[in-house]
Amino acid sequence: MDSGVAQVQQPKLPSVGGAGKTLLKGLARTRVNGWALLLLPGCLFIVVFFFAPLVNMVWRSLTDPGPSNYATFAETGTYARVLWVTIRTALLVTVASLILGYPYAYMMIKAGGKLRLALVGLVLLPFWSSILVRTYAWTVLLQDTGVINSVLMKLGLISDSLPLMRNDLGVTIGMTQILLPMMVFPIYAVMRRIDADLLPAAEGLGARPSRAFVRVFMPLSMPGVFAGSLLVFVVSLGFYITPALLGSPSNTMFSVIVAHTIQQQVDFGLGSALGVILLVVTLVLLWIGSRVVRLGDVFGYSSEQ
Amino acid sequence: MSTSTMTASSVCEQESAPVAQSGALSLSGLCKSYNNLRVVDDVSLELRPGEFVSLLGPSGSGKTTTLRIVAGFIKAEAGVVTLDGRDLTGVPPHKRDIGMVFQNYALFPHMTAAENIGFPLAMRRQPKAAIRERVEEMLRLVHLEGLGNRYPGQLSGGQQQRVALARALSFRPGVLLMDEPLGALDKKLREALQLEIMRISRQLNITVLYVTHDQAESLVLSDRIAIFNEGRIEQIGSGEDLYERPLSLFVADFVGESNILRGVIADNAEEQVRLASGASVRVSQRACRRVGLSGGARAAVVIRPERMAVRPAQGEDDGAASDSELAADLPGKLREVVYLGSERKYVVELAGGEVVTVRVQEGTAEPLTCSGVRVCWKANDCVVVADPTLADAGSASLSAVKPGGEATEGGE
Amino acid sequence: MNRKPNKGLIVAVVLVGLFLVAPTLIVMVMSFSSGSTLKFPPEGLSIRWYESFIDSSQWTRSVWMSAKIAVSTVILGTGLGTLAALGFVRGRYLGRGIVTTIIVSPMVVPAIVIAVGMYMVYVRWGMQGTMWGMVAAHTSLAIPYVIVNVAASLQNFDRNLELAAQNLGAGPIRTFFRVTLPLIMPGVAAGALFAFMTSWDEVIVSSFLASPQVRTLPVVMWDAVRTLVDPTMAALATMLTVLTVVLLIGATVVRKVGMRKR
Repeated sequence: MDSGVAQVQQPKLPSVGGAGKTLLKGLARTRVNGWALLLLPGCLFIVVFFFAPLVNMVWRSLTDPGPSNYATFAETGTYARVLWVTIRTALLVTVASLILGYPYAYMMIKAGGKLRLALVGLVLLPFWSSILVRTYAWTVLLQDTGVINSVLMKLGLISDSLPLMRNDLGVTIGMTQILLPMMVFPIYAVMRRIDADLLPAAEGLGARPSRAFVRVFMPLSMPGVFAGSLLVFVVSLGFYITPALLGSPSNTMFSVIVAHTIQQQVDFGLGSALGVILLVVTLVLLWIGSRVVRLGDVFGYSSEQ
Repeated sequence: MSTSTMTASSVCEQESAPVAQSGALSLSGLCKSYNNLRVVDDVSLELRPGEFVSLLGPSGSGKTTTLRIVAGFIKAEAGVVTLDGRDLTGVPPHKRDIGMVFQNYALFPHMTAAENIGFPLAMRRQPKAAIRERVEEMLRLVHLEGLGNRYPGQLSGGQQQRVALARALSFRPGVLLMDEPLGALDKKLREALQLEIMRISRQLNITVLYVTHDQAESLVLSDRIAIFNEGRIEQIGSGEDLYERPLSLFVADFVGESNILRGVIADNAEEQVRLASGASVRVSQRACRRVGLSGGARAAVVIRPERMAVRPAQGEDDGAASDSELAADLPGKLREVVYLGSERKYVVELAGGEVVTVRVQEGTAEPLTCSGVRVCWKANDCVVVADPTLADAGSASLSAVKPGGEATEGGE
Repeated sequence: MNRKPNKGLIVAVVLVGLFLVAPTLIVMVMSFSSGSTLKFPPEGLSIRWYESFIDSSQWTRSVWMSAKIAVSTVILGTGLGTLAALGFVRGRYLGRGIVTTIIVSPMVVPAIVIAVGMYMVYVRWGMQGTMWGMVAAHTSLAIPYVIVNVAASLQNFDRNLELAAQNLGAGPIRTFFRVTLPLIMPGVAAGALFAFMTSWDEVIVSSFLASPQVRTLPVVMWDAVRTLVDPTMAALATMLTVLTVVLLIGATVVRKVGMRKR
């Protein structure tokens, strides 16, 4: 049997030689194992039925009749205006939902048992309802002969119906309510992880409660705020249903123009180009956002109850 | 738990103890590396049928990996595992017929205790009636009668552990593997379950390979212990072998408490180890040869605290006692006395700066009070091992020795 | 947290809560109106709009079509998605980034872009206006949600349980069906639910892929919202909301019951 001789450790292979060598070693060591094959059916399905259409759209935008589609976009004033309206609306919606959503998320943290359940339910229910159902509800409310106007008229507060629909105001209100859950969840998820002892600790060190909140709690909740804002903004840019129903036909948002170009103008080339532009903007924004915050948290929140 | 169940010869239940002819497990030259780090390095071990062997060592020393290689979860890069002569290389885990208890029990949470225990029998397609009977038998064996319908989540830690044990044994394997099964339990429960495991393994006459980092536990349970250090087995032997005759500094330090005096083996043929202080310690030549040390080699003398004796120094001219049996009689200063009830612990700093601990049974000698003392021990009571460290020969020795880094200069 | 929230916060939250549900609640009330306008509060109560809905073959046909498509989507999407989740979590392969991109994309690309793209290609493939065209589209949108849910379950799964099952005599396949699958079932079920909701509520893509023979409920709703003035839609909206509530509560209950076993 061995004497008490301590063995010299096997030295680790020096990773000399740069990326190439490491890659080759990685390839040699990473055997593709059986589990990986299970990815194939699902991924293939997505590639065929989802990606092929997107690729085709890019192709179409460049060939029907040609890259001039993009020139049309750049040069026509209408599109610039539409882009501006879209971005402006998206920003408004983001800010509004942040203002409404942040205190709500905070309350969800502070509430106990039943109250928290109620708050969660109140935010989950709209989230799971169809966007169409909720947009329809807003048409009922905002129409000229709708609920809000008829109530206000009955109370004698106004004599003419307020134009609450078919304009930016209606779209903004509707989208804010519909996208509010998307703002609340990421903020809630991040707030939940903030150590509950921090605020008492700050107060014990001499900070007034409001100061403690601003200096300690708020900064720590920023990742959630960022994730939620990013999500709401990006989704708002590409939103279709609500702007189509609640917005004005003349001053509308980008996705509606895309649909119009395909369905009414039947200009597939231009429509594709517009779609590609929307897609690229969305992806770029998400990519920038992912550098700053872990988007996995954002998308995983719904399973994190 | 009556003590009578602890003797190997008593069998309380009607379980027909199989004559231990199966369960001969043999590991030969097992090797496994991760990221160019040798995690299991040429591990070989022969288990006789019915033997209880512990794999003992610090965390990361390769014992769990070895166990998992035997179970078939990890493929060794070299070496062979045979069970009763059958080569298990390439045999998938579900065909090995080896029982295993995991560290966190791995009980199926969606099945009751009874269903868990019956699972291996269901896998072997035994008839339902036979399974029910066997499950009842196993529940009785681990003293969990009546709890079969509970889910693991409804059982305590100790009960879960016993279900895991019953499940691993229900299909009558020849070999049982256990991976630190008692780590998650508190002391009292652990000791009670240690006794249970001993009782059951003796009753069933099953070969057990038991991984632990707790040396007291391994001493209680095992017939033999294999000490693991950085992927290699440093020494295999009974608890007594390892305690009385450690073959390396690591083993001497890992098993039990020890005093370690570092020095160099004298060049002349006499069996002497010269310490840093210049004092000489006698060792037997046979002891040196057993660990392959020759003149000039760096060595460490290991003496257990209870084998040392300490007496007050009788003035300046108290020379070394002339008892021929003594290995050494060294002067030192008494630094600390610790009263432990049944014994007293004296911490003495020797002339060369080494610190030793002497344990003296209460009532065998007058408690010491003076600071000048002499420490001695018999030549037969100490052991010589190679000293692999480059550290100064006079450094304190009761702290953990970190072997590794430098190969010894002595010959093999 | 220990301190009681201040009054301002409570008021604000109550208002936001109202903002979240008031529209839906008002619609529910409207659906029982006996008059045929959207006057609020309604003059009288009746269930005539519910009857009107059930009597209309246009609506009931579309409900049936939606149901067929949604169920097909659930079966196809849950199957493909569960397999893919297993591969995603347990597989070792190159190009993890590419795979992640493929999986995440349907959740991320704006719906109108998807709709336009699919429309142009499906027309060419003869899939536009067919039920299976819809199923293919909905499934590709649903798979990512299934994967996310199943993968979450898988990551919480103790692999020692599979090792134990194998050690006890179960081969890889039996291990999967007896141990792994039952324990990731909550994730699979959640994914199936997401798949159902994705297909059931899908408006834009379905509009583009619809034809007079193949119209899902949301498609009919979409047309009706812009033209109809009577509260039939309110009745439908109410029914759909109730369905959502039932599904949500059901899913939560199932999950809590499943938890108790662990």
